Amino acid sequence: MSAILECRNLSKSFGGVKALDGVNLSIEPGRVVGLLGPNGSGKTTLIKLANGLLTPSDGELLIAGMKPGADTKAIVSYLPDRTYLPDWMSVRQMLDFFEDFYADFQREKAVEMLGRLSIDERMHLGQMSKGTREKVQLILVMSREAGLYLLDEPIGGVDPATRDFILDTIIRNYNPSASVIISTHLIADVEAVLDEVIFINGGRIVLQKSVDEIREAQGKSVDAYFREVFKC
Amino acid sequence: MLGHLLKHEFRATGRRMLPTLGVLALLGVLANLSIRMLESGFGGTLLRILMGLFVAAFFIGMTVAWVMTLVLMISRFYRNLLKDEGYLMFTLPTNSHALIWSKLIVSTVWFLATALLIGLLMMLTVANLGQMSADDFNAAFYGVREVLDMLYQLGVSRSSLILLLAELVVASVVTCLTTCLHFYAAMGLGQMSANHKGLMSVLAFIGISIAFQILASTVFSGLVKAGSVDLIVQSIEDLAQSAPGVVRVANSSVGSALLLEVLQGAVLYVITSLSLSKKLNLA
Repeated sequence: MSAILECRNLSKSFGGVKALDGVNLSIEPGRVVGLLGPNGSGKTTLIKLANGLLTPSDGELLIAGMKPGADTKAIVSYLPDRTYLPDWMSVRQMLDFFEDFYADFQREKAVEMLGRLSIDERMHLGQMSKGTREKVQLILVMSREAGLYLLDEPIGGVDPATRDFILDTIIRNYNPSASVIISTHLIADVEAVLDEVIFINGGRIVLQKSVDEIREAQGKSVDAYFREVFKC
Repeated sequence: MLGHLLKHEFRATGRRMLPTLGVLALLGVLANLSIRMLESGFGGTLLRILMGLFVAAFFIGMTVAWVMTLVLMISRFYRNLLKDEGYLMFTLPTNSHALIWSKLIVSTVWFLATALLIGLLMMLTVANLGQMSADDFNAAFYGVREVLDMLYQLGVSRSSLILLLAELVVASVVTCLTTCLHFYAAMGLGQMSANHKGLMSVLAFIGISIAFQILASTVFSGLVKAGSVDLIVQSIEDLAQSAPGVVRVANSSVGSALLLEVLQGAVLYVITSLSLSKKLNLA
C-alpha cells in the first residue's frame, strides 16, 4: 500500500535555526496517527510543509506520491491551530465557500452536525464564542471526504466537554480509508482514538510505533511513555 | 477555480464598495439638485447653507471613495492572504497565481467603477440636466461627430483614432493593475520578515519606487548620451506638422508608456508571485 504521507530527509530552517532536521517517516492510509511532541518540537512546521504553506529547505515531502500543490490540497483537509475563517462571513456563506472549492465537501453532513449543536447557519463567525468558532471550523474540515486530515492542536485551549465533542466528531466523521494526523501535546485526551504515534522533539523523529506496540513493549500508556521520554 | 475566487472576492469587497458607491451616487444627485437650486436663487439662507453642504459632501465623498477603494485593495490582500485567513486561502486546491489574479481583477474593477461613477457624477453636476432637452443631447452628439469629420478631412484615419482610444482604455486598466501590484509586491516582500511585517512592507514599497526611478533615470541618461533623445524629439517635431502626424505621435507615446507600464507590472508580478509561492511566511 503506498503511503499517503512520506517525508524523505526533510529539513526546514528559519534563519539559522533548524525547525525540522532530516525527518524520515511514512504514514499508510487508514490510520489515526498522533503527532506528539512538546511545544516547539516541529509539529506545526511539519504540518505546514504538508499543506504547502512552507517549502522545505532540504529533502522532500510527498502526499499520495505528489509534492504539495493544488492536487494535494484537493485531498488534504487541514485544521490549523488558530481561528482562520473570516469574521464577516456567516456559517451558510462558509458552507457555500467549502462547497465551491472542495469537490469532496459533503454539505448535508456539515448541516447535520451544525444542527446537532444548534448552530444557526445565519450566524456570522464574528458573533460566535471562540469555542463555537472552533467547532464550526472542525465541522467544515471533517465534512470533507479527504484522503488525509491534518489537525493541528484541535483540542488545545478548549474545555473538556468541547474536547470530547471534537474527538467524537473526528472519529465519527473521517473517511475510513483516509489517514488522520492529530498534532497535540495533550496525549491523555487523544490516546484512546490513536492507532499509531510519532514522537517528535527538536525537529527530529524520536519514535514511530503503533499504540499497541508501545503498550505491549513498555507496559504503560502512551501518555506515561511520552512523559518518560520527554522528562525534563 | 479563478471563477470561484472572483465570486467570493466580489462578495467580500462588495459589502464595502457597493454602499460606498451608492452613497456617493446619492450625494452626487443631491449636489446636482443643490447647484441647480442655488443657481436659480431658490430657498432661504438655511436651505442654501444645507445645499452648500451637500455640494461639499459630494466633493469629500469622491475623495473618501478613492481612499476606500485603495485601502480595501491593500487590506484585502494583507488580511485575506497574509494574516490568519491565509491558512484558508493558501490551502485551497489552487495556486498562488489564481489568488493574486483574483485580487488584481476585483481591485481593478472597483478602481474603474469608482472612476466611472465619479466621471459620470461630475458630468451630471456640470450639466444642467433638469433643463436639458433632447436637442441639447443631439447637439452634443453632433459636436463630437463634427470634430471627428474635421479630423477625417485633415487625413486622420479612423483606425488610428480607434487605436488611440483602445490604447487609452488598455492603459487605464494596466495602470490600475500595476498600482495594485506595487502594493502587493511590497507586502509580499514585507511578509518574509519574522517580525515587523508591516514596517518592512512600507520600506519595501519605498525601495521598489526608488529602484524603478533609478532604473528610469539610468535608461533616460543612456538614451541622452547616445543621442537617441534628440532623434526622437526631431522625429516628433517632424511628425507633428500635420494632423495625422499628431495622432501618430499620440499613438506612439501612449503605446510606449503602456509598454513600460506592462514591463513594470510584469516585474512586480514576478516579485509578488515568488514571495507568495516560495517564501510564504504566515505568522
